[in-house]
Amino acid sequence: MTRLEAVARSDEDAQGKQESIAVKFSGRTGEYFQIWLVNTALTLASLGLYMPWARMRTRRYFLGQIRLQESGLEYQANPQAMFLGWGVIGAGFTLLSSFGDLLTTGLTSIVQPLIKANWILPLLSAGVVGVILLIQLGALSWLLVQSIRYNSSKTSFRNLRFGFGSVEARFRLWKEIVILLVLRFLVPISLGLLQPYVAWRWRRFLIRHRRFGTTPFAFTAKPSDFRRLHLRALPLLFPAIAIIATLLLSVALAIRTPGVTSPSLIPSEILTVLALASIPLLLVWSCWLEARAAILTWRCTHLGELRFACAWRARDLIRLRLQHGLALVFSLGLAWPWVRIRETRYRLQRISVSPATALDGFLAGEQERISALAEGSFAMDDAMDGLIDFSL
Amino acid sequence: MDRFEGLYFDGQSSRAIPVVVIPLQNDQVLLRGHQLELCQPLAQLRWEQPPGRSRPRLHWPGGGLIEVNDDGRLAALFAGRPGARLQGLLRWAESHRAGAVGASLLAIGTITAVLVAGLPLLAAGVSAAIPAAVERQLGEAVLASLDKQPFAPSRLPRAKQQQVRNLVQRIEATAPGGRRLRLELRDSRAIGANALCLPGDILVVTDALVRLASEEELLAVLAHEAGHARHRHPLQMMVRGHALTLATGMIGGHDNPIQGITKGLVGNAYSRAFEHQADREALAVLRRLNRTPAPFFSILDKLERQQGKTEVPSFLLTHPSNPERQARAAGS
Repeated sequence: MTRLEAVARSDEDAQGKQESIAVKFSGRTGEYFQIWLVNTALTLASLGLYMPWARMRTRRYFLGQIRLQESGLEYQANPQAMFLGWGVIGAGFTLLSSFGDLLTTGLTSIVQPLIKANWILPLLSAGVVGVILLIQLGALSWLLVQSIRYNSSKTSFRNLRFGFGSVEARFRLWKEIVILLVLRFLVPISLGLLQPYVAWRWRRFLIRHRRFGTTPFAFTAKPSDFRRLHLRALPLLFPAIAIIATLLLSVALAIRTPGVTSPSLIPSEILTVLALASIPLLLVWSCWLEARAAILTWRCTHLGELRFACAWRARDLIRLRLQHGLALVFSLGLAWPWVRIRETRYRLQRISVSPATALDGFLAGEQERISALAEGSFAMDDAMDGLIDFSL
Repeated sequence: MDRFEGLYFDGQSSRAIPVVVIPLQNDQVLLRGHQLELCQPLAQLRWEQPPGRSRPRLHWPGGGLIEVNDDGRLAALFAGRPGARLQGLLRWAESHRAGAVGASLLAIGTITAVLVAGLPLLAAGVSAAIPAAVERQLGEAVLASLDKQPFAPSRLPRAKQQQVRNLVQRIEATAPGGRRLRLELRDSRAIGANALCLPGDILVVTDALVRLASEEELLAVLAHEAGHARHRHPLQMMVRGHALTLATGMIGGHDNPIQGITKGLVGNAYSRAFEHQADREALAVLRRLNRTPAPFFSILDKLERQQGKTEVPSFLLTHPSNPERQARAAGS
């Protein structure tokens, strides 16, 4: 046996000890189609009242079909409490917006006799709208934190619950999410330069505050990892960037020289070619970035001794996106259960966990109680699940 | 003795312990595994079946959990528990085609009942609660906005106008103590020969219609519009429209094409039903005045000839087609 072979052999041995378990997803289209149909029908029949139950059963179904060594994830929310929570939150936001109208009218009647200026009334209503918007944003971000915390604490695996943050840290989480929302808002203003940092920070937020039993998740990626990823994907955006730059320049020139109505920097044929090229390239760009970011994220996520690996491929994501887009359009949306099962299966089955022996070693912590009122912001939490591709 | 294999999780750690679950004769359940033997009364255990093909879960007192391989015999022990019936029914519906069909039929039935009976009943109740003065203000506001856009003042000679007014009085006389109708004559090129009823018993007749119709025919048209007024159709239509917006928005969200289409189709159906009711009312009035229904049919034909025959299916229209109206009216 040569030295090289010996090294290879010992590597193999090490891999054997580090036996990894593939995540399995056992959901079936036919089965989910039935559940979806019953949920939709009962929601319609109850004029919307069944919605929390429908939502809980769907979530339970999907989490229950995620299997790691036979055991599935479990979701144990309380639909009655969720129902009340939705009602309270809906009423709260309705009241808030009508309070805004009332406030504007009241202030107008007070201010109008005092200050006779045309600009005062628009300013007043804009101010009230701004204040109401701030209150709403604050409330929504708070609900978002609570919703993540609630859903996390209601999810369990092997009879151990997950968790997100702690009661003491909830205001810190709120601050963090407000910062994240502001950053997201700034991404377009920064012409996308902030995007890698925001992507990193979202993931760090959602991973490092999460725990399984008493064991916290850890996220070891650095902002520079995401910056490098986005830089590598940048060439795919060149045609789109060229078009946007041309349009911006044309507008700028048109403003400078009033006589010229449509200055053409680039011949329109080239612009057309660029536009045609940029659509598939944008698809490739988003899928490549999505796959690579997921691989990076899972590689840098640890749970105690447990390591994760993700094997998504950009070309698979592109294929799925095209197939699913066409299926949804031609079935008028009826293919939704099929799409959702297939999408989830691909995403989950390419995630694996190692070493298998570490699965037994987690311990339970204190259970905390989180109000189901938070579930009111359910839609946002779902959007977030999609955003970070982190299904745990 | 029945034995069921499963995995036990104590809730303290993530360790999986293979166990067997053995229901005993004395309503106790035995749990046996490696270095583990627990016994609890059946009544203390909680049974749970997640949606889909998942193993059932047996909750042990004190926070333990067993994912158990059951063939249905273990589940039968928990069948009588409160809530088990409903859970079982949901599960059955979610796993059998008949269940899905049943749930869909239930949904279709409920929605139909709401649209056919619930919503109109609600609208009738709300309309009845709206005072006549408010209704009249509403109608005047609508008329004022119409006066800005398609309407111009009537150019009919005084005598002709008075003639139309007399016809309205004759219709009012058929129902003594009924609603006082207010006639408004307007000229409009955009609308052409037409008559409409606004909230607050306001009847609007265009000059073109007065010129087109004979006196007998005008009487029939006015009787039809008076029928709308008598049943407060314009107000009810408004209330139904708002209720429909609310109901469809609650389920499917606002401002989407599906909501628009649903509202349009259902609204048209309501409108056609109102037209039929007004037709019946018109024929009843003509009968009370000892007239034949013939002018009613002849003016419908004249109007159709003037507007050109449409081949659009009736569910897309606010008014039923002439043959349909005549058949229905003749039947009554």
